[in-house]
Amino acid sequence: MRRFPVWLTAGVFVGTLAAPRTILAQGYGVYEHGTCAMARAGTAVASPCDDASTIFFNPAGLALATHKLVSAGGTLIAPSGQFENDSTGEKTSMNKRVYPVPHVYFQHPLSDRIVAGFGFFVPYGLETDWPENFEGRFLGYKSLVQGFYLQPTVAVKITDRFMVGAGVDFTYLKVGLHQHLDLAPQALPPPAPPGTTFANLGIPAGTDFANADLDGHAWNLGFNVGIILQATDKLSLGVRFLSRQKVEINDATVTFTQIATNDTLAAGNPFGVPAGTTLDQVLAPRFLPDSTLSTQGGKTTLTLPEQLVVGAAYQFTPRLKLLFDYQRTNWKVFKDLVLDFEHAGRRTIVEDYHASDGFRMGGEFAWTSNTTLRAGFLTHTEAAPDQTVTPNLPEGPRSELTLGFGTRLTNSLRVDLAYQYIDQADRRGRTTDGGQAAPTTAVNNGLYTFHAHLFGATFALSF
Amino acid sequence: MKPRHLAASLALALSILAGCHSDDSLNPPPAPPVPSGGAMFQRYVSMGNSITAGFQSAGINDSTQSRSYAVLLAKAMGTTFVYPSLNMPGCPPPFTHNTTQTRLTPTGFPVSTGASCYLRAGNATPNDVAVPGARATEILTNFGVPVSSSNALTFLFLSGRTQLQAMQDQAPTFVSLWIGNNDVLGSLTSLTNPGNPAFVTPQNAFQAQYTQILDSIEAEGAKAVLISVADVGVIPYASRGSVYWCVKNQPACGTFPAAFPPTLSVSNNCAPAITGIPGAQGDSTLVPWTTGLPKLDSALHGVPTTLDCTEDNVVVTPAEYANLRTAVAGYNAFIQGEATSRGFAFVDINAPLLQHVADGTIPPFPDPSQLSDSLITFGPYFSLDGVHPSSLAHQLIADSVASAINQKYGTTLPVPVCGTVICPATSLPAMARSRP
Repeated sequence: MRRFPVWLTAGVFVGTLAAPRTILAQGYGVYEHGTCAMARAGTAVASPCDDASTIFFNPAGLALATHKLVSAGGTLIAPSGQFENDSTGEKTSMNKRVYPVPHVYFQHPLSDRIVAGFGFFVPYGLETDWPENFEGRFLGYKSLVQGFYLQPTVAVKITDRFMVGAGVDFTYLKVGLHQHLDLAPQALPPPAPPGTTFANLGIPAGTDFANADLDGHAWNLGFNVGIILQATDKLSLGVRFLSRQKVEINDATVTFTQIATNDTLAAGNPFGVPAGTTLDQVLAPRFLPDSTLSTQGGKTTLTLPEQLVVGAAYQFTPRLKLLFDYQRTNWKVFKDLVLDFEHAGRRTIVEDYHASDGFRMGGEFAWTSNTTLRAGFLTHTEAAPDQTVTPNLPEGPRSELTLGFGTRLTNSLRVDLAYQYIDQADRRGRTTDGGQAAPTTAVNNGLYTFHAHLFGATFALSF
Repeated sequence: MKPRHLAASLALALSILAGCHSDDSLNPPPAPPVPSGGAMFQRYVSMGNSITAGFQSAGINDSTQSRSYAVLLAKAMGTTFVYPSLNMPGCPPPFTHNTTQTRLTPTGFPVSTGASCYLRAGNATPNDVAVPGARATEILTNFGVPVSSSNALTFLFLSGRTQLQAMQDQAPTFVSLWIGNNDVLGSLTSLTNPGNPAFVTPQNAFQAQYTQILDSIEAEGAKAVLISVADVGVIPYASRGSVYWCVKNQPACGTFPAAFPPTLSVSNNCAPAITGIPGAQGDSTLVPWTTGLPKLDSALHGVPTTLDCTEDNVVVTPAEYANLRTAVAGYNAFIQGEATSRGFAFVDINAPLLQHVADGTIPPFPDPSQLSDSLITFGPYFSLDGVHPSSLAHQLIADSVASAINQKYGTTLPVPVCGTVICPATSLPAMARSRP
């Protein structure tokens, strides 16, 4: 005879943490690491801006520096996102927030042909922040990745027309993942038959019983290399390669906090406890130290994909320059996300990303000797496949418009300002895994919409 | 700006604009289809007890649930309807043999008992929120005093909610309510004192509870059909003491296919009034099969046994029976009055029951031809527990309810329901009968 009171009073609770999906992707990859380049839609691999941001965009460009310079600035990103459920028509918007993304650069010519520099930038660093009661909270209501890159760089002018540069990236990656746990799909402990869950006790889907906060960080090494060929007096070509980084986070901490279900059990309940006992009392032992849902260590590995950018810049006139960059980001490396928890076991999330392609077109016009106007347009394909569009990354193909200008405030101080609008194609996605280890598009249950406004400013001081 | 500079800038701007792609077309959520029976049935919720839940033969599983009149009615309405499907063989598995109390046990499973439960197949929010064992008070609370009839199925079906809350969560457009049977049935089925008046819900309490339920349904703006409480004297769970006396003393008041064994005595106080025997009260005494059958069984095994119709812990005495009938009559008068005053449809379920008693399709018990260790049956309209309707009866109930709804609301639900819509076979799947 199989009696569920026995199952629920057994010692082990086989909880499965429905680990959140990655928040890394093309859509949330940050490329605004210099306001000048931002205003040109990020086109800078063949013709760098004169603010030392070339340390990121193409280390070879650093060889063109003729003076010491320090620049600092940032981009304010104001995203707006929404999910509309197919069945209910309910619309949920992301929390309104503005995210600052800083950058700092320093360049120092060591000789006529060798220039050293140092850059600090955050090529992966955004958040998704949904209301905590959002229907997708079981996949994740708040996710954070901050990939701080510290990059000492050296560039050499091999000839007057050919430059190479390389930098070492000391990467500090910080990850925060926050989600609720749904009681319904949690497995019942033995001797319940395998596959038996709380749903089989009638617990409705979407029954919050725990909040999970995962925080982790790690250091890692990578590199950034590039070359620039000044093919003619007007045409410049460039290539940059930012290395893949496989960052192992071994000291993550996951904290589980019990959420009251407010279910009070009646007589004859399947847990075999007296009438009046709350379901929360039944579940509470699972949160005790060393239990499945206690605060515990965890580890995971996140792969930051490599980027290859090739570009060309053409000086149409002494005052007008047009630029084009093609970018390939190898998101194929992001096949799955494996989370290992000290007590809660392993969770593997299938992602199956694919490489994305970006096309950037920009231009700048020297309005006066001190002021330059800039504009650009870029578009790129999505990295997430149709079955992996989730609250953590409601990502899709995008088109972006940029505008900006730079002006000299003094002989040694310059400022660049830029605005960028991100228009993401509406994309069908999901707020649940549908109980599947590898959800298909059949689980998609609504439409994600997204757009963002970005404002950048960089000050550059020459000395 | 020089013209060529302007042209270049313009070209850049045009390329930017040309590159803007339009968003994917937004797919609005499809409007829910209008049920074929009409918009009134867009969200149908059934409330009640074991009958509405689909309990048969002292057990319940997906097969019996799928044969509930509520499920059939939803088919007639053409509306989406979810019941809290229980894994086979059930929770508990139904009888395959009532006298031995053997329950459905598929090959490879442990022997099923009344405590076996294989839980739900899923956790979809049910439209059928009825819970076996529920009285009117259990619609309102799972913590009734002094004793609640909440049970494991209460949690499995409602997950901590009451039926009322579960109904409200669905924002129903139509509700069927069949509650009150257990407000008297608990008395009839008491194993220590059948007919115990203490187990009958007082009229004022029942009416207050029922009123609160109806108020809540009205507050949802839903239409409803109310179904009367079954006459406990009609269901074959209990038979009159006079039947025992007549079988024993045939042909004094009829002939039967077989006779009781000599070891079974039936007191003259079980005789029908027509015999003129002093003290005869068999016409107004009920003998539940759960107490009568053990006596027959003992006698069949050579143990001298007597059925005495004044034995209070064995029979429902005339006073107790009168109390039960009064209660049922009171409930039903109130239910019908409320249906009228609130504009709800009403179904008198006892009329067809009495008709089937009259035509013999609800046979008297005990049937001497079944008096051995064999399976006891109660005719085509009742399952092996003698209380719960069979699959065939559920079809007839669905017809009665559909007719009442049509009459009240002018709808055109198909009657008979089955035939117009596809219903499960009246016989349960072979697995349910495969292993006695």
